[in-house]
Amino acid sequence: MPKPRHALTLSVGVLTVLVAAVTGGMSRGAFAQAPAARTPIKIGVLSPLSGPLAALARDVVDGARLYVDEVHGEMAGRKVELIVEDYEFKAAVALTKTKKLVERDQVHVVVGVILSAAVLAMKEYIHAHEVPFIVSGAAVAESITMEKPSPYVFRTSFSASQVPPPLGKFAYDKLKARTATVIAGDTVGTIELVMGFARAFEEAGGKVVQELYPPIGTTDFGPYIGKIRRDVGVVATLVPGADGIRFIKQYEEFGLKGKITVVDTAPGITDIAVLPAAGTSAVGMYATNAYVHTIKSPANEKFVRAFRAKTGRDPGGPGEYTYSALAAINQALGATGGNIEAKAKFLEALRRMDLEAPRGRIRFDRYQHVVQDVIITRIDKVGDQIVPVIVETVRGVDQFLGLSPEEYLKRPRLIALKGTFGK
Amino acid sequence: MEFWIVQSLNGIAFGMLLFLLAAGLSLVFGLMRIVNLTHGSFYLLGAYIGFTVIGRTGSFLLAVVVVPLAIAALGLVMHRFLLRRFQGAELSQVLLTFGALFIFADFSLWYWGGYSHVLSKPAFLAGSLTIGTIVFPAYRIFVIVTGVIIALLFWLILERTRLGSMVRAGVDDEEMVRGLGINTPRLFTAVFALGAFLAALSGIIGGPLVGAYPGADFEVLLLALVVVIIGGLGSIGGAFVGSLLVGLIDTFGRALVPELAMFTIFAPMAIILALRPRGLFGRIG
Repeated sequence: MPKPRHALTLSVGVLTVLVAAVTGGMSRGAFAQAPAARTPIKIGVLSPLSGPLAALARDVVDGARLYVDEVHGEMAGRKVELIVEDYEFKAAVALTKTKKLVERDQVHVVVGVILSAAVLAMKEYIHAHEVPFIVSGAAVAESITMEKPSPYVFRTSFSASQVPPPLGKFAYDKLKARTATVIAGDTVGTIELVMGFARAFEEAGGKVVQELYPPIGTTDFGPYIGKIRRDVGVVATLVPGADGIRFIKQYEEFGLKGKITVVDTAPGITDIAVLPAAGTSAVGMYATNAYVHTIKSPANEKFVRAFRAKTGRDPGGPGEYTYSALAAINQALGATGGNIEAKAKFLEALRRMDLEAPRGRIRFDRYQHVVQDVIITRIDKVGDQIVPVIVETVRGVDQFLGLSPEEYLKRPRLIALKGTFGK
Repeated sequence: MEFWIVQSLNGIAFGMLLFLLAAGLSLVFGLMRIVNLTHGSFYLLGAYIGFTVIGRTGSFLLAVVVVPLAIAALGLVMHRFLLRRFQGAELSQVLLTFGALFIFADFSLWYWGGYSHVLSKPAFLAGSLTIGTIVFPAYRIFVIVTGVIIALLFWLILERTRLGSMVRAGVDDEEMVRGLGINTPRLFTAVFALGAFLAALSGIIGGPLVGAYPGADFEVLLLALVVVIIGGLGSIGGAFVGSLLVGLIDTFGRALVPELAMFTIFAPMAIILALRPRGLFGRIG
């Protein structure tokens, strides 16, 4: 029998190795082959189907499947094959799964991904292997389609420099808030989102007095909620997935609901995949979005009906962004006679995307990021349902907020603003 | 002042949750000299099954009573038919419990999906208490009270009953206890089941705060291990003080130096390991 102290050290050691093994993942290689003509078009779908954002993640997969169903499994006369991979909300695993999709499955295009850190981990590999990649989940870091843009990386979802700023102005002008506390999960995308809000809020005339960054996976928000200054005009959040549910419930328990309005700088707590679980605790919040299922248009109503029929629930943003990504691929394939192997021509056609998507008309700017409307909603209880009600729509917003890219790039990057407020 | 009171209560509530979690692990660890890696699974299964039971019946109370018993039975079966075969072979037991951890994790993923479930609180604890300007969630008070009651019960069982003295003796010198004619395999099985009971109970009590989600088993195991290392093996008092310490340090760490949020919980463990490897109240080390 080993001495107890050894048993203890051993256990700590065993545990360390185990944790490393679980978070690491394994990589496999394969040999690339020249694809034969008229073989199926293979689309890799990357989504964190297990982990804290699992509820949003299934929207990515269902959006893709719905589009493939609607075109009866064919694009430009070629069969379409979806290969779905789960990367467990871990950047390292996302890269491993990308390698698997590219090298073993030899996919033509990769879509999906929620988590900016994952996209940033993949970007170099994608660029080196010249794989067209449409970011269609919530991966919002500016740098994905801003600095050092890759001709292979597109984004149909949204950027932190695009969706939060209109809410900053809205909070000052319409909600009459003069001071704000920002709270975000401590990861690059969520930080950039609240920074996008903070910069716009200060430019409108407000003052951000406090920044709080609970780590992703925080279970007890008590210490953070206890710290929120009780005299601020608005609390701006981006606490995603399961964390968001716990945050907003605890916010109510600590008696702050109804006292200080909470605004979501992108669909975090207010994402439709999370909202039913957040329940009445979320009522009264405001949020800014690139897509909500309550948009009144024939294209959207048709999409929502089809999505409901297929999945039994309402589509969230990642569902629509991925559905649109596949529509963009289909459009580009139509323009190139289905020849996805002629990569330069396919990419050129993809850049010219012009779609009537469920959310409205979408195009790419020359940095291959989507130009779209930004929608501000209020969370209301209608009947026994918690729904986002549209209160304002800002038309045709790009990731540079109307500035020229050169001018915008002269300003500090959003991520560099962390910690500069409330001093 | 309000800040300090609220954060102290937060820290104590978190500490009591940690205590429920760590007490069972500490006992099993102290007595059997193995880290029961399925301890986190028992927590997670407790939370998940509790979620299902509450969803079906709407009764939190029923879940609190029934689910820990069911998980205790599972622990009993696991020890009686699997672990007991490897009596004395610590490494085999660690591997076995680790394998079981993966089986339970995959089963949970398959049955409950990859989503995060937050258990609903009983209605009478859903609100908050207001004293002067201080607003504090009622449920957290309930967690504190439950933690204290369980700690008292345990202390009574360990210090005042025959079973308790056998356990304490087993922690101190297992061979001697066997030599005295006490059926240690049966004692081990009982303690193992008790550990599973406590883990499942903490899963349900913690469910409305922490929730049940894939990976919670690992996180919880890590937290419990930290407490056990600080408090010392096989000591309920140690687990209690260790839990309170970790709960308070973590809460104030997050509130005062949030940049170090990931660090504050492990720093006390590292210091204790360096200065007092047996833990604060360890009987052995």
